[in-house]
Amino acid sequence: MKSMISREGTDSRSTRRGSVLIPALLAVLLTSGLCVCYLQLSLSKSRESQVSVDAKSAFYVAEAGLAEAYYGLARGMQGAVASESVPARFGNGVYWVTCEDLGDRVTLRSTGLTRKGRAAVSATLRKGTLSVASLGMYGNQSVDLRKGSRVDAYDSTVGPYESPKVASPGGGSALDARVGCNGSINLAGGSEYSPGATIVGDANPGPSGTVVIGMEAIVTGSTAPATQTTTLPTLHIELPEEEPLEPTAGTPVHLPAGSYAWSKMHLGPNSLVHITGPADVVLDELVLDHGSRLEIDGSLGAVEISVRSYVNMVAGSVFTTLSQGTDRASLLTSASLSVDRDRDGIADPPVTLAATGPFYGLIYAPRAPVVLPASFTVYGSVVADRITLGNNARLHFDRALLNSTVGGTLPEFLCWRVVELPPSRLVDFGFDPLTVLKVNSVVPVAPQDAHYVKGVAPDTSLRTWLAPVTEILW
Amino acid sequence: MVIARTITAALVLLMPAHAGAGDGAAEILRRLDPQTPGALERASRALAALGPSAMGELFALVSPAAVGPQDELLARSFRLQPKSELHAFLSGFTSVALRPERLKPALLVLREAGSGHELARCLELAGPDVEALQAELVAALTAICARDPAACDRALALACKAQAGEAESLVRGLAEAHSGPAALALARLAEERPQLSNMALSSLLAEAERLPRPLDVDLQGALRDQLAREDHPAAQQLLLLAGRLEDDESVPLLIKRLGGARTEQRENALWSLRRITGLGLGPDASAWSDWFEDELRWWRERAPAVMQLLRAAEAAGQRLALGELGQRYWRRQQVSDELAEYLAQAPSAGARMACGVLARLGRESAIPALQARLEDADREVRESARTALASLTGKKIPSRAVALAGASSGAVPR
Repeated sequence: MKSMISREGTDSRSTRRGSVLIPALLAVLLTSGLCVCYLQLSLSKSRESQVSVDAKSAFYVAEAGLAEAYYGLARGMQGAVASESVPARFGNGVYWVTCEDLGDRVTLRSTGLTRKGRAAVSATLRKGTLSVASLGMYGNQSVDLRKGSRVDAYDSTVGPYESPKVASPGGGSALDARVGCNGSINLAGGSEYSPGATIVGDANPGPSGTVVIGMEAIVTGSTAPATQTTTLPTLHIELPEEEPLEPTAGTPVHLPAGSYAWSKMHLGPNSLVHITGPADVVLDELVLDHGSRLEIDGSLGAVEISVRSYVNMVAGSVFTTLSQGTDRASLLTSASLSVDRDRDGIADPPVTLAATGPFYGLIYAPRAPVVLPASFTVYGSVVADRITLGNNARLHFDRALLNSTVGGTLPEFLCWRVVELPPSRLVDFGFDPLTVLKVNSVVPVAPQDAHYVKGVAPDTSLRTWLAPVTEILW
Repeated sequence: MVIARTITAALVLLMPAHAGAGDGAAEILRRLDPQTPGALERASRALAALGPSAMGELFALVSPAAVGPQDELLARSFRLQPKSELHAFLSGFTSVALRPERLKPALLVLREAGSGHELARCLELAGPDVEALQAELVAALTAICARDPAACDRALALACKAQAGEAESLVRGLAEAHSGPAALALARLAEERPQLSNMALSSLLAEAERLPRPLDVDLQGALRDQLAREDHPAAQQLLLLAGRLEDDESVPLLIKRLGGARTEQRENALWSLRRITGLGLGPDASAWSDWFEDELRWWRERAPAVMQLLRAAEAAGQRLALGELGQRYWRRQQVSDELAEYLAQAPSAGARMACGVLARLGRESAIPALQARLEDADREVRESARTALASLTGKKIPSRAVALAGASSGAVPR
């Protein structure tokens, strides 16, 4: 019995031996479980953190897109940047910005993608105003083109003026002129002996205006009315009490760079005034008699001539520029009243430009009618209350002025909001957009190269993106 | 007639026995007070009563400048003469027979009394170089075409074979007549003489908003036929005309042009689409196509039932119908007409909704219906009608009285 007990006792000890392994095992299992849980939790936290970082990053990329679009608007671009099918690269992400034109306002919508982050933000801005020079040939009340006159365009950043070959309706031209008016635009017709007026480019009348096209007259571009009228900025020309400048005949006057003011600049026959830029000349009256010559040399800087009440350049006088930069010379005048100044009983118009050119630059007369004769060819822009392009006269609009912001205002921010992501496979995929772009052989463009100029329809097509296979398998 | 005869008799009695018709006319003109209401009309009748034999003297009294109420009065008196005598007299108006200073008076008489038969005479008087008498010639052609619908067809026939200057005057005359037949003549001219198509259609475009509404079906048809031709020499003008005339049926053609290859046509088509529909969609033709398909489907499948609901007496059905009609951007005139009819007898809740939808549709034809609800017993209906009227006229309307008095006259053309 004893032995039995003893044996039983021995057995009991032997059976108890190693039982500690179970709790140990359990402890190990528990620890392992906890470790796995912790690992999971940690991974989850890490992923969550990564998603959060990506989302924030995407948000900032989208914001960068808005900033780029604003920059474009301020430079006279359309506002749209890149597109869903070819986005712009920014850091480790990509973005594209669409633009909706609402007349005087514009709504930008930027979509930013980085790794797994996606964000879309929208901003509405009131459009800024560009330099008046960007208006091209613009009349506040009316624009009349007489027989044989012609308005076309060139781009001085590409090269000097060359006559566009295409001049038929719908023929199209890469270099479209800009003719606009708050009222109607009239193109005189021609006949079998004389051609009608021609606009190689767009002619956009005011909201209730029309482009009236005479027989044999041509407009190659759009004639759609503008959505709103354009207010021409008023000129305030302050003139201190000064003496007149009346150079003697045969003695040229050279005005070096600087600022000048005279009550009147009256160039009699055979007198010459040469102005070297940069220079500002402020006058009350500018009169060029037959045989006089006024030269502007803007090669070293811009020359701006501001005339308060009267400009009279009679036929036979010369008003010309020696440099071909259209941003280097401007004649600005606030003249508006027809007054009998020569006491012949007939009221003299506030602005007479019957001189001989050529003139490279801007002529701005927001309150006066301007008639441009065939002798005075303008390269650049002419903006006035009423413009008449005389028989066979020429105006060559420099498209480089389209982006001119000199004297303009910047777009004004109105509101901002986070918006829904746009429908796009690139957005819907959870993959890194740069990987998707690489798989689809799409190279994202640099933001500065992704702006759309005005008049060019942005790419709104949605690409059928292929998913990266390796990432799916992983 | 009795008054005219009486005045003439009185004048004859007053005048010395040897006085001729010229003296009689001079006496009438001397006594004329243009400020007195109806004086010009009466004097014109009195001058006419001097008889066909006095036409020569009356014409001699028209000043060479041919301006002012007295000259117009003299010219107008010709209109009351018997047609055959008048025609015979006017046939003497030729550039050979008349001295140069009598050309303006002759054109004034033709302007006031001429018919379609005298169109060629007007052109002949102005001569081949029409620029000097351009304004008078155009005024004469305009007045004749506006007065005599048959003259528009004659003008069309003349313009088809006229020289450039004469053709331009005829086109301007037709355009400024602001009548349906004149507009139709211009549309046909664009078809029959392609060299003139740009001028004819751009002139029509300039005057499109002054054409009487509803527009002539033939005119719309003629323009649509030409719009269908992408290579039309005046395709640009046709695209804009569709918008200016708010021709709903041209929407499919406009969408087609919007998706076309020619940039300048795309821009004009977009402008017209936005104007016709009031939608702010962008230049993407597919977006416009999707929208138009939805509209077509609605008009095909839902419109009859919705219109029935609107006419039924059940308020819930009317609300549903108004909700759907409020989302329509095509055939806005038709929807507006339906709603204006509904508004006349709509209950308060429905009337408020209808006012809102009518304001959005922006059709002036709804103004009388809205004005009628300005006197509604329900204050909210009155307020809705006032707001809608303000929106349609583009003016602030502070009170019901102002709305009733001035809304229609101050309406913004659409």
